[in-house]
Amino acid sequence: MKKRRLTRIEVSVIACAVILSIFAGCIGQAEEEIVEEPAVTDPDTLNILAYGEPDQLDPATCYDARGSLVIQNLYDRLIGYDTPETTVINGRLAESWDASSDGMVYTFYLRKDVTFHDGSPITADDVKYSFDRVLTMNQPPAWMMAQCMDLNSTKVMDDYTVRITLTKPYAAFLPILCYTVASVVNPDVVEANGGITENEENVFLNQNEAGCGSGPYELVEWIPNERIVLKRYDDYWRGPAELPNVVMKFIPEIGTRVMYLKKGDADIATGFPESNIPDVLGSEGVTVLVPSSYDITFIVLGCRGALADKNVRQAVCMAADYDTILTFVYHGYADRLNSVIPKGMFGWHDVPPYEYDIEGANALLDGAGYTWAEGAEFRTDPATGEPLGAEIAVPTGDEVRSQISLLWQNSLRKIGFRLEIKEITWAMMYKLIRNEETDMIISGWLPDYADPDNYTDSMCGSANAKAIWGSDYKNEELDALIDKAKWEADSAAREDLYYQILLIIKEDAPFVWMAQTAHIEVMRTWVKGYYYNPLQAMEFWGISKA
Amino acid sequence: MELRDYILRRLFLLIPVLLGVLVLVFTISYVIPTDPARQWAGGLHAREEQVELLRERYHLNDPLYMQIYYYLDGLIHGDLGISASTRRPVLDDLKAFFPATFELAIFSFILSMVGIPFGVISALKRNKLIDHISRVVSLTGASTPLFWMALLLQFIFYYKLGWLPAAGRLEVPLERITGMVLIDSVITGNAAAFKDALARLAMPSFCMAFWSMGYLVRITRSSMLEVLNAEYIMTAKAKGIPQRIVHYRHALKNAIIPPITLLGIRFGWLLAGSVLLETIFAWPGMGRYAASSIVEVDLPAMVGFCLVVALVMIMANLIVDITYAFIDPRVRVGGTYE
Repeated sequence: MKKRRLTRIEVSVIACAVILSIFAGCIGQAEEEIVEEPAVTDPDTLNILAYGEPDQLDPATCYDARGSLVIQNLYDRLIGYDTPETTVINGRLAESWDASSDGMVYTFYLRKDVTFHDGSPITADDVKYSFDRVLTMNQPPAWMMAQCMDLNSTKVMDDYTVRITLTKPYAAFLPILCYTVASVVNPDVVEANGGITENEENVFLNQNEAGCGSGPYELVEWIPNERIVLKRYDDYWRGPAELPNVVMKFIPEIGTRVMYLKKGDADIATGFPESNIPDVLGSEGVTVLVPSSYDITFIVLGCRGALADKNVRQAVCMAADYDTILTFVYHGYADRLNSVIPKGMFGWHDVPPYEYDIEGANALLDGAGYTWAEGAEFRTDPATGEPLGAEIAVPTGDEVRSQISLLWQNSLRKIGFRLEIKEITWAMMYKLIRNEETDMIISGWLPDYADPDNYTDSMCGSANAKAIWGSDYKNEELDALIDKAKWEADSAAREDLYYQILLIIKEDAPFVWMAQTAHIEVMRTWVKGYYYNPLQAMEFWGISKA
Repeated sequence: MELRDYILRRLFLLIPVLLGVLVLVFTISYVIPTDPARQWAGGLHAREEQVELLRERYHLNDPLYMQIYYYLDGLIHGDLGISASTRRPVLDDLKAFFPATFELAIFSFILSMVGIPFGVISALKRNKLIDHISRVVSLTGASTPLFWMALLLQFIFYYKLGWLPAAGRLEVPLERITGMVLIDSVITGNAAAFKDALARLAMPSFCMAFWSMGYLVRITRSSMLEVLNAEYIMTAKAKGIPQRIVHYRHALKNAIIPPITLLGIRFGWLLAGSVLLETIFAWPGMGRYAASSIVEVDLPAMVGFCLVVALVMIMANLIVDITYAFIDPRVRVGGTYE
């Protein structure tokens, strides 16, 4: 029997089918999720997957979360948080401390058994050198200390006693000392590598540690865009860390990080997006922790154009469908933010936020004279005769903020308000804000230290509203209250002042308070000893694998 | 024109080309409404005095021509400036990232050259089974999105089979000499590092090569088919010259020029780095560096990257031009023909 030869088309179809079936088979396997729980891998090393690398590692210069994570473990500070509790500050290099009744003078008594990584002991002179260095270098995080300290503030009383006299009695002074900027550095290492130059950063310490720190780990190597390797400092004053090594790999692709975690080749993944939690949820050996953080998301209403009218600002606040945003954009991993101070922080009060109320918003705009002609898509702004509306700038590539803007745009249509969304890069946004070329921006705030002033003044104080957010919002009564609360030493009086502040902010509606997000940490179940404190980067010292 | 003179002339032309690139990049960054100093000083909450200090340091308050002058002055002294985002000298960054890209490019380049014999066989066995398979494979390579291919390979070879590491360039300690880990591991006799580096190169280089190879097969096949139909090939066959000699000495030599042109362009492209691929495989190369410098409006890094890419593209084209002359004796560099 003569065999029939395959035609070109038949051969091509068969070849395509074979290739597609191989790929489809692989995709099919992906959905099956058959992952066996492996034994603890690499038991001596904590393998962390980071989405990006630090900008620098000098505590006096670093002002980003990625850098803080490393600095937190290379250097030590006078005080810190040993637990998830943000109101309990524990001694670190300082065994104890006391404060004067007027909150102006703090005296710290140092431990005598602490050494830098080069073996030299830490004394009060080193503390003064470190604090004066921060103030002299005047780099991005220096403003925190400069609020209440100057070069005359720190005095050495004896080898192990240091006294700090504040320029103003700032209640947030102790929380500021918990931030990485207040890390104690080894003067010998600094002086041998560039010393201190006014208003300049130290290029060497940006990239190296070289015995400059006294934390539980030392820097072994930092290979740009690849990894940072730390090794345990055996003479650490709290005792050697549980794990001898820490390796931080920079893996920007979330799909790759998910595979690493599920396979057990990584222990912790940082910077995990909410939308990818379903990829790991339920996977054997992987756990997802979502403790509430102090990170907030909001929309700045520029208080100019149509938004100069308080009625319009209140109406747009009422036209955001908060529940839908929290459910579909944050996938439930965020709480409703009621005002500028996040829940859990001192100064927070249960001030009812604006709720999603289209009828109420329409009534407000009707009453304020914003007519909505029959058949028209939007209301008319009586001041300009143009459709009522504004423009919002959204950072390019920020999926969460883009989705919030789109949902808000949709609900604002229901009150006849036209929202134009402009997606631009952050670098362009700064120019836009500075030139006040946009009406609104959607942004967020991460705490520098545990104090409501870090939120109220940074966002609603008129000077910062203008300088940071490009907003024309100004309320002199509020400014006075913010300033009074900032320097108030009495805790109860301070708390009451913040209540008054929150009421004014609600009435003025200069922001749409959107969400208080959860801190997402995805890790293997074999990771023990981890705790999250919203004001402090992760500490590797007590983390073990078992 | 002598080959040496031609090369010297082309190398001399580098100067105006690089100057042009420099002016172009500076002009674009000058015209785009950004505030790089604020970005570098910490973003929204940057203090004005810090922003101003950075503007002064990076000459951002100066007119465009002065900025270019300052850059050229530094360039002449071997200083490409300090990257605003990595806080390292740009030259150090390029030294760190370029070898990674170069190593990956060389590997991918060698792998993709498999496309030439495939294209030749495909043309010689036109409409046979091997031709169909070759065309389907090359079409798949040319049309499959790179990121999808990368994720698929990771899923199969790392996650399911566990044969290859998922990402990264090297996890074994190694003394870096040239920056190319394979070469460094050979120089230092570090077998573990060599094995690890080779395993980590496999997936990204295959992805890049598969893509290039797809185009190469198609170009080689069509070029070969065109030559095989030429009259001088018929004549050669009619004269009884063995088929192997007709195909490989007469046809291939003439058909190879377009694939070589493509290879040259591809090699330059490979050396510029691939952002997507480097992101998925966490490969510390030029693509990621360029992408982050653009996002951060890191002008020194952007200019440094563009200069390197321009240099690489020119050199790749120069090598291709010189290769022509060796392959085809009728071609004389410099535009004259015998």
